[in-house]
Amino acid sequence: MKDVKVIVLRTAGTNCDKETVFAFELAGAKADLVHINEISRGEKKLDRYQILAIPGGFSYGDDISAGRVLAVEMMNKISAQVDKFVADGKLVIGICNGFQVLVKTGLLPGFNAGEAGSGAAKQSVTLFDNDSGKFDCRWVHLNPVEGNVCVFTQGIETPIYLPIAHGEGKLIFDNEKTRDKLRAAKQGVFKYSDAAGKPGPYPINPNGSEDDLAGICNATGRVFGLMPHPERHVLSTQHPRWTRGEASERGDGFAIFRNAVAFASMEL
Amino acid sequence: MTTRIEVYIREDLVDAAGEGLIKDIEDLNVKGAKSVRFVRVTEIEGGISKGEARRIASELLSDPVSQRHVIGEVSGPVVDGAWVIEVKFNKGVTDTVADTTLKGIADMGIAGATGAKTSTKVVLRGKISKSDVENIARRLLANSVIQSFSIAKS
Repeated sequence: MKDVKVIVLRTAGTNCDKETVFAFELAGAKADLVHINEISRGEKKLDRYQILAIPGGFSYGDDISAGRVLAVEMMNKISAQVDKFVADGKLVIGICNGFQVLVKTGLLPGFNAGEAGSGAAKQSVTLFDNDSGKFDCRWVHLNPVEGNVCVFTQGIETPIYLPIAHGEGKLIFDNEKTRDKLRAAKQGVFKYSDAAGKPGPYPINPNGSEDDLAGICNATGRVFGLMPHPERHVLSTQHPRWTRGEASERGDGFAIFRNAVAFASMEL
Repeated sequence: MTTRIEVYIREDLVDAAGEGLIKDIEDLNVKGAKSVRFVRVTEIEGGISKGEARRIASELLSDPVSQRHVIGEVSGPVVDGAWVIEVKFNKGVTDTVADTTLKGIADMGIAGATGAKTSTKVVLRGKISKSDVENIARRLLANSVIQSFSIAKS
């Protein structure tokens, strides 16, 4: 199997970076933790990697709005490298704050974007204040959307169990056309559900996301973002009730990292 | 020169912070509050052009899907008869959001901004007396150690 190199991008306020490195290394990749300044100064190059991960946290304190300032920085300082990365068909994952960044750069869902979803597209969805007005930090079930095109989640066919920790996770569309387009292109990846896969209002849907969406991808399925934290459930002992025998051999989030590394090893 | 940009949530979306404040107002035993909308205000010092101000407002300070903005005008949620409470930091208090805003402006390649200040405007609709509005501002919105507030009726 070909070596897979992952770049985990961090900046001031990122706080899930080391867990994300751990998850990718558990899946067999070599992961580098890189500050965005190292890229903008030219000390590190994105094109040396096959997977870009933007981890969770509170980049720049979530000042202005969650993920906005890092999105602006990426679009203005390293956009050429990011666009090429996406255009080359390489994999990008944004987790929680990283998902907010991908949405606010327009890379997700990537409508009106350039070749293979690259280029700073017009923002067409956003992640907005939870309906509850509160920061919700707990475990949720996620039902995979049948037939979705995401390469990170292939083979996941039953609900998975992951933690959330966010105050701005309500996914909303700019209009009905965007919602219809996303549905038609099978870009919805995970929906909040109960343990049996059935959707429902709060607390099943923790933030009021439209269509109960917890994660979406771009049209190629190679750029993926989600609000829950798969990197916080890669080991069985991270399950909140593992001592009661409810955990499986690997945490439910592990499959996402394993799929990404396997895909990159074969295709990139 | 100061450029004032106000950002507010689209009227058809729930303002969760506003809804939360209505509950807090009820807990103060103040009756009559019908709706609350929050407006985030940013004042940018320095020589920035109108085009740069538009870029800052649309690309950095507001979200094109969930929010609206105005530059140098009174924002959308302010309607006739509403109480408008504006909470500002006292002089000398560190304004971290303003500092981050300046970083974002610099990242956009805009060089003229020399300073920034942020404040929060709360638009309160309903039949409430001025003394109750003062009570709301003092007890729920402003920390008197670091902030001060002003009240106006639009």
